[in-house]
Parts: sequence; structure tokens; C-alpha cells
Amino acid sequence: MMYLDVQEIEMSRFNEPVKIEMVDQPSGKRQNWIYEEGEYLLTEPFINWESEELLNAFRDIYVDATWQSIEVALPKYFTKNFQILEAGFENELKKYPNYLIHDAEYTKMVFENIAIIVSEFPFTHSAIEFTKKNGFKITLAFPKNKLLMISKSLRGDKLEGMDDQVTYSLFYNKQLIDSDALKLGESKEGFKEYLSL
Amino acid sequence: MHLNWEKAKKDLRNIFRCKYYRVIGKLTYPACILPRTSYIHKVDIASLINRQEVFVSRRSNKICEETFNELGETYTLREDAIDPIDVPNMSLNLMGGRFLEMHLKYVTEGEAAKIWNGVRKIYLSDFMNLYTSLESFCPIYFNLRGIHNQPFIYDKGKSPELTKEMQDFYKILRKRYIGGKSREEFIGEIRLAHVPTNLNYWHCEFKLQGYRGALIDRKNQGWIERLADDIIRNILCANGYKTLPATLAPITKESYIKAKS
Repeated sequence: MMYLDVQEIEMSRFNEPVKIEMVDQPSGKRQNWIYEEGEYLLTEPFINWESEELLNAFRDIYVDATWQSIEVALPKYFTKNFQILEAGFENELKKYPNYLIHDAEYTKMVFENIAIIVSEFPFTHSAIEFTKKNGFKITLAFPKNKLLMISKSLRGDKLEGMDDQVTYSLFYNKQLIDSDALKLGESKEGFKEYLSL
Repeated sequence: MHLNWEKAKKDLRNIFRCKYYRVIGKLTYPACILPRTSYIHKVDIASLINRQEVFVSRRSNKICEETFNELGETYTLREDAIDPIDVPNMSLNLMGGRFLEMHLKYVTEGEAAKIWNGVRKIYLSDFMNLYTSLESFCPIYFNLRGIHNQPFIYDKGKSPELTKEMQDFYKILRKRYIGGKSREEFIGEIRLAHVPTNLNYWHCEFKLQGYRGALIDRKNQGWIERLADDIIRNILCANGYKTLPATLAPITKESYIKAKS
């Protein structure tokens, strides 16, 4: 069994795709995220529902839905990368707990949501830092002098921070190529492709 | 002749006083980094960068572990290592000349920290109590290749003066100004300027040049803090180094010593 398991279940309702993303956290918790056309339907995940249980509940709501289960293929290095990032987070938490804007449990949950995406990137080194003003920042070094910095703001309401909205800065030879704010999950494949070049 | 004698007396008095203060341990400031009248007032940074790799240094008041992230063989600066309020006109020291890492511990104040006018002969004995020496600090080095002339985007929020300026500009261009936006975006540029002070010839500053070359100065305004945060994240963090490269070429004397006529 993988250290962390991610599955996606796609359903369609009146030909509109509805997706359930099931994420088994290392802590043993299972998060079920439900979204439609890229937008999360709920701001918080269903915790610890079994997929069958969840689907049955959804069948009752979406009586006309057809569904299929898709196992998401993850890169070989995914688990190792996730463990490295998690260790970096724990190390930072030990050193700078006073930098946290919200409680550690919430910060870790948001961090893991971002780390799950980032673990698919083929980085060689990483650094995690809590920033006094904002939240946390993940710096990743890649082969061929590529550097990616991902900042996650945790300012404001807890619910606002739950999504994968981040600010990134991408460098080549330490010179800025691009910087912008985006939903990381939506651009994951593009980043993976560029960073693997 | 009278003037020269006066000068010679002052020179001798300075030498004697400095020697005496050094012997009794009251003077530790390094004379080698003082401005000299034989020096060019301001080093031409642009042509220096065209010729060679240039690094500048700064002192972090945090310990090194809290200043840098380690990424294998390279480092990046932690965001909190620099206070955004320090970004406009950030104080730095030009490396590769006579300024060394050990000189970073000296902090000048008052007249000693004022800008050197290029002609004043500096007598160290005149600045005896105008510097302090730090026990510990962590050096930060910046490679100017990724910083000098780097553009940045900033907005100042809605301002009637800027809206009018933009309308005028668009009128000249015969383009329609689309107003009503809550913010107006501009492009600026970060540059290194040589700003020698009375006790440190190698002192430099990062200058933020905004719209029409206007200097973005140190002020506690929300938009400047946002801009400073962006500059730290997008420019400074990636270009901060823990050590100087062993291969860094020294700055040639022609770059800072006046040619003999």
C-alpha cells in the first residue's frame, strides 16, 4: 500500500462532469473533495468516508449520474517527495511555531493539500519556510538551474485558505521567468512538463 | 604655503591620534575602506557589471540558519531575512574591492554615515565615536546579475494625478483610455547605485526607479510595502548567497582610482 493514496472518481450529471478526489492522508484520514467544472462544491472535504459510502450518498442526489473510478497514476518519486516535504514542514514547525497564523493542525492540512500536488514535480532539493506575514513557502530546486517558489497565504478566514490558490515565482539561473497567482492543481500538468524538460 | 602647512599639521595630528587610539584599543575601524581623494567619486556600476560578475554584501541580524534555505549546493534567502521597509534604498557594500566580510560588523551613524562629497579628505580621528562594532552577524551576498536592471510591476492604488497622467499619455497615442480600474499598474526597475559615505567608500544602495524614472523612496505606504514584498520574493530571495564565489574577480583599480593626469 502506498504511503499516500489518491484516487479520482468521475461522474457525469446531465453531461456535466462531477469529480470526487479521494486523498488518503498519512495520518490515516481520508479526505474526499467534490468538485464540478473545476470548482469545489464544498469548501471542506468529507473526512473518513469510504468511497462506496460516498458514492451511494451521491447516487441518491445525482440519480441520473453515471460514474467510473480512475486510479491516478503517480510518479515513482511521489511518496519520497511527499515524505521529504512533510519532514521539512515538521522541522520548521519545531523551530518557528510562533510564525504560525493559524493552529498547527489546520496549517498542516493546508500544507499537505499543496504538498500532494507539488510532490509530483521532479525536484532535487526542497526547503519549507513559515513566513511571518503570510503563511508558508515551498522552494524547490530542479535540474538545469530551475527554481520554483510557491507561497501559500493563510491570511484571513480559515475557509479561504483551504483551496490550492498560490503565488509562484519561477527562476532560471536565478533570474525570474514568471510570477503569478493561480490554482496550482489546474496548472499541475503544465508545471510537471516544463520542470521535467 | 600656509594652507599646506595647516594640512600637514592636520594629517600628522590624525596619524598620531589614530595610532594612539589603536594602541589603547579605542579605535578598531578599518582605514582601508575610507574614501580617499584619489578615488573616483562614484564608481560606474553599469560599466562594471558589463565587464565582470559583481557581488554586493549586506548584514543579516539573524543567525545564518534563520537567514538562508539550503537547497543542495545552492542557497536561497528566507523571506523574513529582509524587512520590506529596508528595500527602497537598501544599504549594501560593493565586494571585490577593499571591502571584506570582516568589515560588515561595523555600523556607522550620524556624520560617519552621511554621503561623501567626493572631495572631503577623511580623517578617521574625526569620527571616533560614530561607529559601533557588532559581536555576531550573518553575511548575505547578492549577485547583481539577477538584480540590476530587473523590472518590477507595481501599483499605487487609484490616484487622480496618475489617472490624469495616463489619460494624457493615451491621448497622445490616440488610444482610448479605459478608466474605472481600481488600480493602475506601472513598470519600474531596480538598480544598484554607488553611494560612498564618509566612513565607507564601498557603500551602495538599491534604487527603485518607477514611472518616468521617479525614485520610489522609503515611506510607510501600503503600496510600497506590497512592492517591497514582491521584490524580496521575486528578485532578492533567489539571488542571495551565503558565501562569495572563490572565482570572483577583483575590481580593477582603474574602476575606482582616478587616472593620473
